[in-house]
Amino acid sequence: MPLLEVDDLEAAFLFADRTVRAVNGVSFAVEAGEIVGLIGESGSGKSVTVQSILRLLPSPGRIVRGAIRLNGVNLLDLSREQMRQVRGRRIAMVVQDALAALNPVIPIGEQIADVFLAHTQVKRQTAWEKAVGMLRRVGISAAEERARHYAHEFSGGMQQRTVIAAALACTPELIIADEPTTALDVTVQQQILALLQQARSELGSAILYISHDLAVVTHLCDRILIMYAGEIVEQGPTRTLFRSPKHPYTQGLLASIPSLHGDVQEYLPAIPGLPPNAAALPTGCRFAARCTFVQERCRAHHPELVSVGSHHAVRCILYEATTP
Amino acid sequence: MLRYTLYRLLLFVPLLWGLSVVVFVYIHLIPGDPVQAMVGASASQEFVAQLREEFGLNRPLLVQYVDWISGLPAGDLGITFRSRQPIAPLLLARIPATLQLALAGLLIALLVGLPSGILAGLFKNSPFDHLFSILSLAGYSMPLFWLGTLLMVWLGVSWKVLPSQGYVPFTQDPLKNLQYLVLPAVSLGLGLGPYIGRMARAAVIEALQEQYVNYAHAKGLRMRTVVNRYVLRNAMISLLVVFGLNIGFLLSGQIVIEELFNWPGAGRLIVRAVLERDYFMIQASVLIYASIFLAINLLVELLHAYLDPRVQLK
Repeated sequence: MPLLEVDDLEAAFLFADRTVRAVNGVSFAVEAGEIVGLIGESGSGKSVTVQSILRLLPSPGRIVRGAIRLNGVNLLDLSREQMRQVRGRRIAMVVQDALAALNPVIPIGEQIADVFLAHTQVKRQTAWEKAVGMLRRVGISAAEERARHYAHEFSGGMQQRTVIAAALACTPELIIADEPTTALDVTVQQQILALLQQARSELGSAILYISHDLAVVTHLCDRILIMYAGEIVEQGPTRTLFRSPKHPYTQGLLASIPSLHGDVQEYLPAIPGLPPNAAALPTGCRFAARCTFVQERCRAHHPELVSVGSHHAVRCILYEATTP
Repeated sequence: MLRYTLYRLLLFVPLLWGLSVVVFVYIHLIPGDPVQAMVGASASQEFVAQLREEFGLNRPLLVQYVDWISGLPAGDLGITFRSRQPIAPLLLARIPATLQLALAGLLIALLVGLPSGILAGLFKNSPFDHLFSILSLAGYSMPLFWLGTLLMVWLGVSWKVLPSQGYVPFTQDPLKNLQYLVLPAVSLGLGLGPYIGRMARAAVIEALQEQYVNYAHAKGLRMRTVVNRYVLRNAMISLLVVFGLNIGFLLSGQIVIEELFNWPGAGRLIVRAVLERDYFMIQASVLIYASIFLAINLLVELLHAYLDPRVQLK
């Protein structure tokens, strides 16, 4: 049984005048201790998927269909209090904008101590000492003193370390990292990625890593899911996906990573056009309007996710025919 | 914090000086001769000239200003025009009554406005929030003198449950004093309460949209912790700042209520000074009220700096 199983998830924002279908029938699994990358551009539904897993969809967002199982238990069936005990303890979150995620008027240490107080039976003093320990563990020097500081007194990298410290506090089975390095410069990025890898090797936590940047996740992830317009268009082991990308969208993404080897290209290839409006999705393939291999049938027929190798699946008409 | 406090206090001195200049210039820029206005058009020219001489109004403006301001540090606010009494003791005698009414009114306003505004903000778009919006808008739109008159007529005149006019010092008869206090304080509180309530609601809604509140939920914190430490703590800080900026509402409302309920506070003294065209009294009162306004804002700023660690850096 996988650690996390997202099964046919459909989430939508029900506005008065229109329905924005942000996530449409997404299914995937994360095994214990596995690092899975969820890749997609802005508006592809990756953040909504994550918010659905934690049941923290902002209003008027609703989970319309599907199941989200953690060790076989459907999170959508849990009571509010049961769900609260899952958040931060079994599934922890690391966010992109650490400064905005930290309360500006409460010392850093107290915000980590709050996690211990919410999930374990400890006294305030013990929780504080544990929080200081967590800060030390994510590599913040003079942690006792630093714990009394406020978020704005920390550098961007230290803010992100603080958020990771809060996430690791209760040894979660799954860490969801939503673009945790986007706001950081490259050297700090590497330190944060190393910290996440360390969490996996030391605590055995699985990681669902959300990003719009394929290059960043290459070395981190065991497996990659590519999302486009609210659905998964290709998934497979990182190596396979990089060696033989099948979906034209994945191929386009890979082509747009600047290379340090080989010929210097004058122009970096980009995928033309914009993703479709989630309030008015096309009936056929959602990538058809931007695809270089588009055929007549693509605009009418919505392709299924089909297997094209071991653990490798793709949602494209070009590969549907090859399967029996 | 100590450095910041000293810095703000030091800054307060030139601020007060600037205020005195504005008040002085403002009073003296009013067109027409103040003495003529005070004694009326029928007075003889000789009488007017004599008064001008007596009050030193023939001297250059700068000399008059220096004369006025040099008395201020010692608490000399000048003398009234009609009775020729020193102004400072007159104002000072009114302080207990004014302070009592202001604090009681503020307390009622906070008791009415804070809990309802916070609840409305936390449960935005709930039936309670809609009810709150309607009631607070009604209270907010109702002029203070009208609200006070209604209460006075119902509770004081028709049902005769409370005295509607007058004042007894607390030291003389505490029970009577409180009876007299109820109507003006409730009027002031109900006038100011919806104002505070709406500010509190807005502050809570703003805080609820912050990412750190969402992240607090993602950490699995209990609802109580999220509301107290993440939502309210931040909302109350911004409420404090907005409240400081709007303190003039309380000060001006107080003058109206004092006049309406015959409450012998400093506000009534000002109203009388205006009616009698006592320029010296007006000048002194405006200076005092403006100083109180600035002092409260200073207090709010210091409190803000104490509560919000980001302030002292700016």
